[in-house]
Amino acid sequence: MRVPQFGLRSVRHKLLAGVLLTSMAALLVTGVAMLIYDLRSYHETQVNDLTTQAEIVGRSSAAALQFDDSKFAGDNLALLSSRPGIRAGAIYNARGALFASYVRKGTDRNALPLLPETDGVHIKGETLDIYRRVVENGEILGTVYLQSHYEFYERLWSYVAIVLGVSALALAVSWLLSLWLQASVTRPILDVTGVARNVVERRDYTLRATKSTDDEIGYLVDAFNDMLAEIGRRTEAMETSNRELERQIAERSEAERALRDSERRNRTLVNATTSVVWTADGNKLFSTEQLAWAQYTGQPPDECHGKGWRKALHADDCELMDGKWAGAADAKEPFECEVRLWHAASAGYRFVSLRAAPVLDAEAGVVEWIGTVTDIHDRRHAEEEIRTLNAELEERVRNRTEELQSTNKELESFSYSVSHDLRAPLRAIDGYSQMLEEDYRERLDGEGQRLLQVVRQEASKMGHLIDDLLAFSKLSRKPVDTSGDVDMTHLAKDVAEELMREREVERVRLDIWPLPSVRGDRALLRQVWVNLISNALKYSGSKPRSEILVTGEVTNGAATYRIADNGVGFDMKYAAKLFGVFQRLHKSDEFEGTGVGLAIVQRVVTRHGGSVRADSKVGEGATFYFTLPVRTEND
Amino acid sequence: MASRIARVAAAVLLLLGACWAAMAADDSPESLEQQVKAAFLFKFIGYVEWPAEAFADPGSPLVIGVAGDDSLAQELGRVIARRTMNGRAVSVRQLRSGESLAGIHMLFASRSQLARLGELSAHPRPVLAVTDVAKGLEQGSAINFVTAGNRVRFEVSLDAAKRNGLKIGAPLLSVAMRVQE
Repeated sequence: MRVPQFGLRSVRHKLLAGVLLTSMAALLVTGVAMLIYDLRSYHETQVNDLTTQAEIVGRSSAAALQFDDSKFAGDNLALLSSRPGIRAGAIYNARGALFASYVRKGTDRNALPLLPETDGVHIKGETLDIYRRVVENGEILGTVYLQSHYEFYERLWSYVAIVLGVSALALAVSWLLSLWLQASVTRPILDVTGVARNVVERRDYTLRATKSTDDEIGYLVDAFNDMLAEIGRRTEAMETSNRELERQIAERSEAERALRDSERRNRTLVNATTSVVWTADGNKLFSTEQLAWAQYTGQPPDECHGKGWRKALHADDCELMDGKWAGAADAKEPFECEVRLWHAASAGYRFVSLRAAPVLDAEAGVVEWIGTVTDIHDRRHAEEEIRTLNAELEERVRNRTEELQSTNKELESFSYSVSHDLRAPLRAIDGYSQMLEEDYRERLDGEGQRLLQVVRQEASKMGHLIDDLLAFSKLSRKPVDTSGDVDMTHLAKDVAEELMREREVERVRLDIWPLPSVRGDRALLRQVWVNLISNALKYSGSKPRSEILVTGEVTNGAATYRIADNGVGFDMKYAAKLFGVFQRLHKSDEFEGTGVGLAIVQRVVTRHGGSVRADSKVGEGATFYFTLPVRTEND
Repeated sequence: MASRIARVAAAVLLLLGACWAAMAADDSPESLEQQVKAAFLFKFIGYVEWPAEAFADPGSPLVIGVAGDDSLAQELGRVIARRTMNGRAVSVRQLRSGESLAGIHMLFASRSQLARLGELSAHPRPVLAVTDVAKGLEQGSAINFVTAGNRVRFEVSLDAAKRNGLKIGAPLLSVAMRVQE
């Protein structure tokens, strides 16, 4: 919107023009009125004055006229010299002859009329003439004539000059006044106009006009500001609404596009997946031509009309379809059933999925049914094949598992018997070595005694190994009794005390914090503690001071126990091997042990339904965790 | 047509009549002087104030008595000719010898009748005495005509007027040739 530049039409100029015109008009009217009044009064005064003078001259000259004394009359006229305005005077006798005259110095003597005229006043240019009859006792004695200087035009011009001068002065004063008025009246208006111009140009409705007066303009400014605020609010609301509308339109067009896409997709899908689409009327009769149906079944159009379409169905499936359809008609819901339908192309029945949905009118009555026929024959065959294959597979797995289990049992009993049978010769080796050591000590030299000692140690080690193996294999065979409550704190402390008995207490710091109790096999769990604590003691033995901390907590229905040491630790890439049988991460000459301990720990914990893991870094100690389920009374 | 001729004829006759009247009037210097004096006599009335008891009643006429100059009396009669002065009728009476001054307000005494002034001096009464003689004022008249250079002038004696209970207006005095206190 273009903001007009008001130029000469501006209020400022109008106000100025108003003030000036008003002053001019007032001055002119006053001046003209005064001029008229003054000139009139001047005229009247002059005329009256001259009339009076003529009267006086006439009166005082009446006797002179009556008694024909022109000298006295002349003396009377000569008195007029005291009146500078009167230029000439004359007295005519009753017969009209000049009787006496007076002419002021510097005035033309011929100015006197030769004959008197009738009573009256005559103005000729700057001359005022008056004739006055002298009447005494009803008789006309003569006529007095007086001629006066009439300053009418001089006065007029001087008056006009004064009026013009005063007008000029008044205009100047008016100009100053209007400047002041502009400050007090126009400037607030101009301010508002300026703000209005800015608002229009910048569309910034936060602008406000400054209120500087408490009059109507001040009120106008307030009203203008309120209006701006209101417009601002409305504009904002409108913009918000516009944005909302735009968003809605965008959403709607997006939705429409999505709908179109969806519709196209659906149409494509229908075309791709459905071989037949059909419609039946409310009474389940084909009332219109069903090309797709006729093409699939090979029925001529007139044959499938009415109830004829049912003939294409396998006779055994009609009952199933009727039942489902009746239910759907009652509930006014779509239905689906799998039936066999005659397929003309393959000349046989094929499994199809027959679906139909009711089309309802305004009163919720079924007007028509729209249905599809989807060929599921191949799918159905594939499904059946998969079912057969699955059954075969399950059978094979079962057989294999049984085989494995029996093999496993055989292996276990074998290993048990081997272990058991190995103990007897081992005991013999140990017993005979002992006897040899006791009875033939003096016959053996030092080297013989050392070798004998080695035999005994190795036999003992092997005994331990066999014990462990037996215990391990026993764990596999025996069911675990988890009915008893086990006080883990007590158990761990008991084990620790026992293990500490064999060591230098002062270089070991072993702290056991209160541990959660669990249900389980006390003997087996004791073995777990023995293995883990002895492990910790063993691998931290190389440190100047062993520090072992045992803690436990219950989280999410499981008790987790933690055994941390400051020992040599291990590389985490071998963590998977840690809990295997005979899997050792360190050489046996470095740390003694059979390599079965952690395997036993894992097996015990696993059989209690828990889990084991370890965390470490080489040289920075290791931490073992095992978790056992906490069974409440309800379990 | 006849009536028109008659009217023109009548106009001509009237014109001729007027011419004859003018020619008949005596316009010798003596006659002109008599006319001016008659007019003056009449005009004097306007400037003189008589006491109220001089008149029988407010409506009674002012009487000018002319003694010894019948031609002036006649001339005065023509001047007056039913004219009034100050709302009062004016009449002229020719005074015969021995006729009383009673009822007279202004007395013109000719040279031969100056004796009449003696009556006024002996019995002052409100009568304005006017004479037309040299040293008339010294004879006891209030106003005396003087002929100066072809013009009729007059002189006034305030004392004579006052003696007879009359007041003479200032305008008359202002045009008098001489005023005797």
